[in-house]
Amino acid sequence: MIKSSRIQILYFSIICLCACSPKLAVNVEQIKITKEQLADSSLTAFIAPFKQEMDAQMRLKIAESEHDFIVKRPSSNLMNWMADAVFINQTRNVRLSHPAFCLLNTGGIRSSIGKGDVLLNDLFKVMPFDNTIVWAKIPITSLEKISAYLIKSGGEPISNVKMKNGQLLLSGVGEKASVNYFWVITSNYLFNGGDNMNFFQDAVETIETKTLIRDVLIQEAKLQEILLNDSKSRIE
Amino acid sequence: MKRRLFLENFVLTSVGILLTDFSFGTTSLKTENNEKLVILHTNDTHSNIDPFPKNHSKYPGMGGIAKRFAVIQKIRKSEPNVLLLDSGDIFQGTPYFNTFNGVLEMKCMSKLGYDASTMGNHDFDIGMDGFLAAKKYADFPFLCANYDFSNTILSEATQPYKIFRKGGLKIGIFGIGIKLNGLVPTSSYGDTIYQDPIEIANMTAATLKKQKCELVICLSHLGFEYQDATKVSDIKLAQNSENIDIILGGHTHTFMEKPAIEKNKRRQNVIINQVGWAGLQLGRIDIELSKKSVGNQNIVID
Repeated sequence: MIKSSRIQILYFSIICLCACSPKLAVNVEQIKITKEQLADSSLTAFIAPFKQEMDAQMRLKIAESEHDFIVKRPSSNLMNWMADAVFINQTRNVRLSHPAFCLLNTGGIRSSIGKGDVLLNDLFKVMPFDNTIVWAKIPITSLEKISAYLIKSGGEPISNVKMKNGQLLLSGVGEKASVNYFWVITSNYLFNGGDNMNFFQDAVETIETKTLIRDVLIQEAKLQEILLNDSKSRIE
Repeated sequence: MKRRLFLENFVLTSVGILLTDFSFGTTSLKTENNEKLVILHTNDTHSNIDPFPKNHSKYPGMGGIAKRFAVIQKIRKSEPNVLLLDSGDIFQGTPYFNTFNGVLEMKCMSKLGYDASTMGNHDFDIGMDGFLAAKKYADFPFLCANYDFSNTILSEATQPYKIFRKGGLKIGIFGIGIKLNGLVPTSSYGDTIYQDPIEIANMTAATLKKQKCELVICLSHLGFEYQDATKVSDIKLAQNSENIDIILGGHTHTFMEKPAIEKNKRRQNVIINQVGWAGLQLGRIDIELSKKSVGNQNIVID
């Protein structure tokens, strides 16, 4: 790595041969846009009124965080927090007739949350998509498809369920209890085949809540005041 | 100074590249028949207008489109032939997108002087009508060769390729997009027909060679490489291609220390480069081309 003024440059050079002509040179750099790099002031000025308008809406403090919340497969504190927020919000006033758990997607968490104030802005960055919550009732025979998916993907955010030795263990189910169906609380994106979660096609019943996942995250973060940190892995 | 850097770094980082000829003492000298082109490129900028916050755990204070602009302007001051390109996923990722529906991204990219972009899957996130509304503020073309938009509202909004002329050189650039099914809700891409990326890429590249382009560049949003061997990627595209010299990739957010070099169907080398995401890096490819090197065989890197 070479430091050239304010820009850190990774150089890569190769010699090219042109089939019927003199040799040509190719030189490739990956120019890092560093913290120290100065900004073009005219563009900063152009962006300023947009930033102001956005900030007026977005810089609202929602909660606080005592940790860095990150995304890391198979399981991390931000993945756990997001799945828990959705699960707790959705089941708070519900009497469940079947086991239920939340399954979201790691790829859908678009940012980490830094230690300190958690602004509305941060939650929009974590969940920028206008995805809504869907409940899907799935036959127990399809549970293994979900386990197989989690093994293959390397881990997705889950709540109220654990994975041990490649098996999903539903909460609140005794060994002898016979379970025919379970509910998965998820996003409309995944339910409709996003990220190839094809097991949702096995659903026998669905509830489309029309509730935005982001709105639920905002609501739950406000309730918690200090974001609950659970970094224990749920996928082993 | 620049020359020294070139040589030093050549020695430092070219390990692993088999060189059969060290006579580059004469090769980087500009002659009447040679022309230098500087290709600058980004991918997956994802609405990152501002730098990352100072308390960000991974990229504190890094990135930012106004800083990128300053870097680009500095290069333009010393280089006459610069192309600025993007490989898609301009949209989605910061509240700027939620607040202004992609308009600010298009306005800023126009100010930076982008020459062309292709569409990534996230550029469908507010539907084709949303894209079209934001695109009004883009003064650069969107190149999409394998999305057939004929039966959609985007039928007039994109073009398969564009030929750029820089310093007497003809550079053919086209765009290749990823399969939308499973990535984008069907309602957002409607009657778009997805055509085979490799087939269309080869067809388009052949057209560009026929039109005597000295260099053919593919803006790809296929993704660099996948574990799933059945999935098409930039690596696969390069291996199965003819007539493509450079693939500027995206989608997989791959930070590459150096570009990948793959052999195409004719055992010629294809350069693949990608610069992660969020505007954290700007790719720069300096290439010296002979104006006479017209034909169906172009650059071979030994």
